[in-house]
Amino acid sequence: MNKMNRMLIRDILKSKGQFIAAAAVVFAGIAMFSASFVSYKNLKNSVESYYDQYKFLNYYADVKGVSPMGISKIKEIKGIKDVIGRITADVGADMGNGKRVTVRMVSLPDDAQPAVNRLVYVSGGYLDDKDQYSCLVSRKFAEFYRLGEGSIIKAIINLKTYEFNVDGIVDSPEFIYAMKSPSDVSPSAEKFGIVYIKESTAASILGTGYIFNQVHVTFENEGSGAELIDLLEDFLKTYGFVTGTERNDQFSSMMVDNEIGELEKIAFMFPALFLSVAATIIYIMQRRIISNQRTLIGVMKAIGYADSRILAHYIMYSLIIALTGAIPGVFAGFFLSIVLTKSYTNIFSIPVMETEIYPSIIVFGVLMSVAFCLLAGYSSASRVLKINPAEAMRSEAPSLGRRIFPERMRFFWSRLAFGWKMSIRNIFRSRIRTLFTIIGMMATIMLFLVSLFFLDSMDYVLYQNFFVFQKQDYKIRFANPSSYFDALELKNIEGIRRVEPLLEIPAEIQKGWRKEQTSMVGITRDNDFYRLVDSSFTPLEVPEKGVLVSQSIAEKLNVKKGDTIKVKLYLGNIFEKNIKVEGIVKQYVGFNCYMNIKELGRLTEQGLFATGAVVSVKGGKEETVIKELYDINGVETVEAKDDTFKDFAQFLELMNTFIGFMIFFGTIMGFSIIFNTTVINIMERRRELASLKVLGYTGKEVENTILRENMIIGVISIIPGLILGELMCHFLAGLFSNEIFMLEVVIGPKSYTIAILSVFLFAVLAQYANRKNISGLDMVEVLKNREN
Amino acid sequence: MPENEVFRLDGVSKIYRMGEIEVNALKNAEFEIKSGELVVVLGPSGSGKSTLLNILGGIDTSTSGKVLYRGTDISGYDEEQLTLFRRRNIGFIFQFYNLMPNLTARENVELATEISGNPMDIEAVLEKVGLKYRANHFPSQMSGGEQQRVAIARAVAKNPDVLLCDEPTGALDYSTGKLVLNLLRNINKETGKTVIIITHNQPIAFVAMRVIKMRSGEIVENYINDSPADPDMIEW
Repeated sequence: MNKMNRMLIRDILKSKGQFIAAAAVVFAGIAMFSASFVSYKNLKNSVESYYDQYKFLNYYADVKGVSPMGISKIKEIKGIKDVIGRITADVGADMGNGKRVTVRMVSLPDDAQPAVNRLVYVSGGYLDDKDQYSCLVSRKFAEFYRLGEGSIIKAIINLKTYEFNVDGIVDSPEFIYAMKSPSDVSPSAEKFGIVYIKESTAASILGTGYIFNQVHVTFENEGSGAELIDLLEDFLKTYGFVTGTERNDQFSSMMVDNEIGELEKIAFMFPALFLSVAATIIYIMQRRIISNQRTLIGVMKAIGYADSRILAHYIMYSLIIALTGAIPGVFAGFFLSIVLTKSYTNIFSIPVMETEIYPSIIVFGVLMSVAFCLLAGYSSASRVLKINPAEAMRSEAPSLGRRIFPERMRFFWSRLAFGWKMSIRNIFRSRIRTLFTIIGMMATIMLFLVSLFFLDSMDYVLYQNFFVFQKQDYKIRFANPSSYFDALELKNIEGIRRVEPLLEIPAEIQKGWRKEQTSMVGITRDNDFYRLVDSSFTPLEVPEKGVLVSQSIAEKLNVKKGDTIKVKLYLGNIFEKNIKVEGIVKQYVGFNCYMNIKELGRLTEQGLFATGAVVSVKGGKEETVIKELYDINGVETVEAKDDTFKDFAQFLELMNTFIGFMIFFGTIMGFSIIFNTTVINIMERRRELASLKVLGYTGKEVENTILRENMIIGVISIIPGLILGELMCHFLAGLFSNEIFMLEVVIGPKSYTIAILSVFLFAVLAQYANRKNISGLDMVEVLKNREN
Repeated sequence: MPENEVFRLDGVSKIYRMGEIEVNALKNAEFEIKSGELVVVLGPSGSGKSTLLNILGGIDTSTSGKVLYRGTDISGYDEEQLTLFRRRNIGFIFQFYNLMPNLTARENVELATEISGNPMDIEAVLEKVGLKYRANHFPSQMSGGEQQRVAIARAVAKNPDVLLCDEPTGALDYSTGKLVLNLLRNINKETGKTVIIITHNQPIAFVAMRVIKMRSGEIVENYINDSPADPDMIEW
């Protein structure tokens, strides 16, 4: 081995702690990158191959009624690969103990799996050909109610109860997210499930006969889009075409895409953040190592080593840090990605899990960290070139000292104890060192703030949405649209405090060429349960005639107050209306639009009617009220707001897992940064510290000098650190807000406290870890030599 | 114990273990130094004189033997006791000054008076070393001689019993070196403090009241100089 490399290795061995700390920062960044990026890829691949293997629809249409004959005609359209017609209806199911939920009845061919949206057996098999009442049940729902082969489901259809025998538990690419409608904010296995039954049975008990109300197709060529769809919709007009939905807009698929998109953002943003911090730290470290080794560099130059060779020596140091951190980082990331992918596929109930080792990611991850480190290494090491050998070998001129600003504040200054004066002078006079320490501490504060912000923001958003914006206790859905006054009648139930009828109609909003699916919610103008506010939290009135549009939709469609939008309301028929926007509603979760219930009834030509109601209940009466509600014919389900809140909170658990990771890596990083800065500070000042000891300062007194300095710098770092952190939070809040929920930059006092205290805690720990370097300082050794 | 005895060394040895090799830096040193003496320890480099000085000053410990400071054996002192010993009794002066670059001349001196129970007046000390007019300058703004005088002021200001000077003129030019030597001699004369200078520079020994010559870790000569020379009169 050549001598320079040997020297390099010995240097590294001598400053192991520092080296490990720097490599740990790279490790954290890369592990994070590969964990999130690989699980993003895995999940994307898993979903794609799931869709592919189980023939997930490319397009489906709701129609009034199409016969089997019509279906076979569709099959003949060029470009259509497979087509199925089916009967679908949402009905109530009695789950025992008076519990009523909605299930979606989906018809299947009597004898074999459908050609589109094939099912995955979790247990059991296909419908029993001898049993007219055989059924299959979606997994999450079955798991929640502990259903298995041989269980019975009681469905209530047109006031009659039918008992279905469960013959299999299944997953379907169509219901990765099983949600009844977009106005449900999160999937809930407790409230909604899919029950697959025989076509022939559906035809007879649902009263439709062999007339399908849905058409699902797959395309020959996945890319074929608009033209084929136009052709198809044109054809379906004769069968009473209602709406058409492409795969991307299919509800479950959209939710999955959203989640995957989120993961993709995380996969790039956080590692980039971590790696930038890592690069900054390496830059700082290298710069200081070089100024400490000035004489050495002079000697090498004097011996005749070329500048480039010396430069390479120092850059090599960064390179080794990069590789030491990145290689285990990539593999740790792969390992974590398996855990992450598993929890994702579980939450999504995706039966196909693709985990792969991606050589390209390994290469990319390593190259990225190498690039970051080399950049940092080069920009700091290029200072080597400026060193003149003769000058370098002469003893270094004492660093410049100057009067500092606090000394001019005589009143303050004269009252300070000597130790504090010394520390403050040190801080102000060694500006570069102070600046670097501040940068390190700022980075730590920022990392903590950003991680904790997600938790706070989520808490806040959920609390606002479920407990400030909504004041009802229960939401009741009717099996069929009912009279407004019937809804009001619910008030007669003992224990109900207040009732407000509710009218929910699926809708599409269009402005220009942009469209969004939403749920139009009609509420009374004197309502008490909905607190509608605009973006500045000014309360909004429900307008007499116009519509209030959800903020996320308004942003997407670029809709402003005063605009007129085209609204399609789907209520059996399609009602297309132009409606004036009277306000933009702040909504953290979901994406509804609001109207006056009277006006909405008028627009759909039904007069005053309701599809449900929201109620508040007197404390202690909950159980009897629910029981009574279920006894009323026409009440399909009763949802407790608290349950919906819990469902959503659970739905966000994945996010929490990720934040856990982030805090973990942030902690590694924060400590590494502060540890490193402390080591460098001590190394740079060995001579000073030894001088103090010779003068008769005790080890403790010397330690306190440094600790005091770190504490003061910590205090100085707080404000800029918090500002930087907040800016970052604003940036991330924008990035992570999506169609399902919106993040607000809310940071609780606890998070501020943790972020700030972490810096001080790390400073004390780092100092403690370095105690030996101070108290064990060999005075003779240090003071004898001119340079250390 | 004779009242005026500052140090008495009793069979003091120091062995450094450097890997596999043992270096006998100091072998069985025995001598005494009286209060108020100006002592020069003379020897070529590697003769063990720095080791001797470090042991006397409590920044290093002996491997065996007794080091009596005013009758008390300090060779068994722990780190804390040694720190207190240095704080109260010893002023160190190094070849390379070792000033705090961030502190002005006055502040460097304050650094010492701050922890002394019985400090001297800072202004008077600065005046004595002839740097009163530069008190607010930083080390980077001073010449080597000036920096060394600040270092002396810092050592003296604590009002220690003994000044230990390790090659105090080693980094200085001829005339500045003489200036510093004069200063040390004057401090010795006027304040009665014991001053111990180690040097490899033979002529400096003429200034001393007691000369201890060392070679290869051994004391080869220890004598009283009855007529110490004026620093101005010596040449090197």
